[in-house]
Amino acid sequence: MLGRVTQKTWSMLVYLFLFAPILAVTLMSFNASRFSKYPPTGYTLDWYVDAFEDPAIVQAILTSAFIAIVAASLATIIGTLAAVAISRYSFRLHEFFRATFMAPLIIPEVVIAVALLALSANLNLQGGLPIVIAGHVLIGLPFVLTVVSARLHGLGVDVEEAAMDLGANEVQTFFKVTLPLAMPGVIAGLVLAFTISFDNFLVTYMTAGSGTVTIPIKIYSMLRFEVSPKIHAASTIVIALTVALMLLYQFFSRESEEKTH
Amino acid sequence: MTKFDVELDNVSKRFGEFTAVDNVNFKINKGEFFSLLGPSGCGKTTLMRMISGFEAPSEGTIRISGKDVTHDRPYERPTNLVFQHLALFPHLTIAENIAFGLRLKKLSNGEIDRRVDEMLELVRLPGLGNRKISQLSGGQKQRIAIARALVNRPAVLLLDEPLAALDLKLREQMQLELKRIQSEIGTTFIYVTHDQSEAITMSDVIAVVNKGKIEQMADATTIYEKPQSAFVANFIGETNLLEGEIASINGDATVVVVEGVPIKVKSVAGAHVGQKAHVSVRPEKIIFDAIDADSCNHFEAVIDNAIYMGNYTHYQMHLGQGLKLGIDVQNATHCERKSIGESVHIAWSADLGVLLPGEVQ
Repeated sequence: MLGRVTQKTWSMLVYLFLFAPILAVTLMSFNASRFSKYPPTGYTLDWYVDAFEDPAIVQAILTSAFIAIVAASLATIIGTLAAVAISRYSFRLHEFFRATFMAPLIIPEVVIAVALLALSANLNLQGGLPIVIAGHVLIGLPFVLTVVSARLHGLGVDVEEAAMDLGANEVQTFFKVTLPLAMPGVIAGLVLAFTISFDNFLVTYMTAGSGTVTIPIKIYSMLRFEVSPKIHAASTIVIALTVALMLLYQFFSRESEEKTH
Repeated sequence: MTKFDVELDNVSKRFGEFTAVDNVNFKINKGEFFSLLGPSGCGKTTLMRMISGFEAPSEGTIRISGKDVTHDRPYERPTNLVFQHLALFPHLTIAENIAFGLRLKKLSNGEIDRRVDEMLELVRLPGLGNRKISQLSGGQKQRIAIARALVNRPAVLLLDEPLAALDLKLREQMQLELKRIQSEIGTTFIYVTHDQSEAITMSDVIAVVNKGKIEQMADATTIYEKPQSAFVANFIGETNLLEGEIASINGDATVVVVEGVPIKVKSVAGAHVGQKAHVSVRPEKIIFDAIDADSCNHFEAVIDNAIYMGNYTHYQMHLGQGLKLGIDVQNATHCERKSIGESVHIAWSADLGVLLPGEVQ
C-alpha cells in the first residue's frame, strides 16, 4: 500500500508530465525574450500582436474555424439522427450500423486519410476542402453519436410515446419532444466535434493539398523554418479555444445530466 | 353504430416463444369503467399497449367505436393513455402540456385556452397553467397527466396503474376523484391495475387476467362473491381455499372432503363425484355460533392466533383433524374477544362457500 502522501506525489508528477509542455508553451508566449529561456526575462503581449499581424496565421485560424463549423454541424446532424435511429428503432443489421458509426474511433487516422484520398481521386477532387471536411465529419461522428445516445437513453421512451399517443406522428414527435429534450446532449456533441475538428492534424495534413492551410498545419510548417515566439502565441490561442470549448462541453453535459434526473 | 366502444376478437400477442396475451375476447360498453386486474407479468399491460397502438397483436382484431384499428398507429386512434410514470413533458408548462394534443389538431388559440382552462377546472387545479412541471406535487402531476389525456376527448381513456406511486391516503382520494371525473364526462375508462381494492372501488366491470388469459369478467360483487376459478378466489381479497375431493352430490348439496373433514357447499354444473375440487370460503362469512342445520357447516375449533386489526379481529384456528381456517370478526361491540387456545363453535351457511371443481393450473 502506498501512503496518502506518496500517492498524491505520484499523481502530481503524472499531471506535471501531462501538462508541463502546455504550461511551458503558454508561459513562453508571454516571454519578453525572443529565445525560449527560463526564467522569463519579462512579460509582453508582442508575440500575440505579431501573430495577429501575420495574415497567414489569421487566415489559417479562419480556415480552421470554417472547417470546424461546417464539419461539426454536419457530424451533429448525421450523428443525432443516427443516435435516434439506433437507440429508438429496431431494424435489420442494427448492430452493424452502430459499429459502422463508431468505427472511425478505432480505425487509425492514417487509414481514414488514405481511404479519403482514394475517394477524392475517384471524384477528381485532388484533395482540398470538401475532402478535409468529409474526414472531419467522419472522426467527429462517433463522439456525437455517443453523447446524444447517452442523453436519449436517460430520457426514456415514455415521453415520446406520450407525444404519439396525443396525436404527434414520428416527425412531429422528434421536433416537438425528442429534439428539445435531447438538446443539451446535441450541443455537447456539437462542441466536442468542433474541438476535434479544430485541432486535427493528421487527416488534414494528408488530405488537404497545398490550398487548404488550417492552424495546426500552419504551426507545423512555421516550426520547420524557425522557432519564433509567434508560434507559441498561435499555439496558446489554439489551446485557449480548445479549453474554453471543453468547459462549455462540461457545462452542457452536466445540464444534460441534471435534466434527466 | 355499435354500442361497444372497444371490442377485442381473439387477440393474441407473442414475443418470440413467450405468449403474453392468449386468445382474449371482450367487449366494453360505452361509458363503462372497465378494469384489467392481474398480477405483474399477466399480460394486462400488453393488452393495454395493443389497444393504444404501441404493440400490434400477433393475431386477432381490435375495434374502437366499431372501426378496425388493429394496425393503426397510436396517433391515428381515438384513445389516450395516462402513463404509469406520467411522462409529462418537462420542457413545457402545465398549460402547454395539456394543450399538446390540441395544438397538433390545429385548433384556434381561443378554443385551446378555453379547453385547457376547462380541464384545469375538472381536475381541480384552476389557475396553475403557467407553472412548470417540476413545481408540482405527485398528486398534482397525476391530475395534469389525466387532464392532458382527457382534453382530447378520446372515445377511450386508458390508465396504466396511474396511482401506484402515490401514498395510501392520496391514492384513495384520487380513486374517488377518478370515479367523479369519469361519471362527469361519461368517457369509457380502461384501468390497468394489480391492486384488487382499487379495481373493486372504481370499476363497473373487472376482467381478472392471469397468464395472458381472462379468468373471469364481471362486476365487482360477482367477482368477489362468485369467483369462477381458484385463481380469482385467491387473488381477489382473502379467502380460505380448501382443497379436497368431491364425496357426494345430492341435488343442490355437494360434500367435499378436505383433510378428512366433510364440507357442505352448493352444487355447480359440471362437477362429478371423485373429482378434485376447491371450496373457497371468505373469512368474514364464518361466524362464532353453534347452529346445527342441514344447510350449515358447523365445527368445533381451537384458536391458534388472534390478530387485532382495528375494525375487526382476524382469528387463525384449526379443527380437530388439523384443518386450518381463518375467520374475520367485526369488533362491533365491546364483546369479549376470544383468546388463544380457547375452544369455539364456528359455522357458515353452505351456500356462502363456492365450489371450484378441477385442479389449480
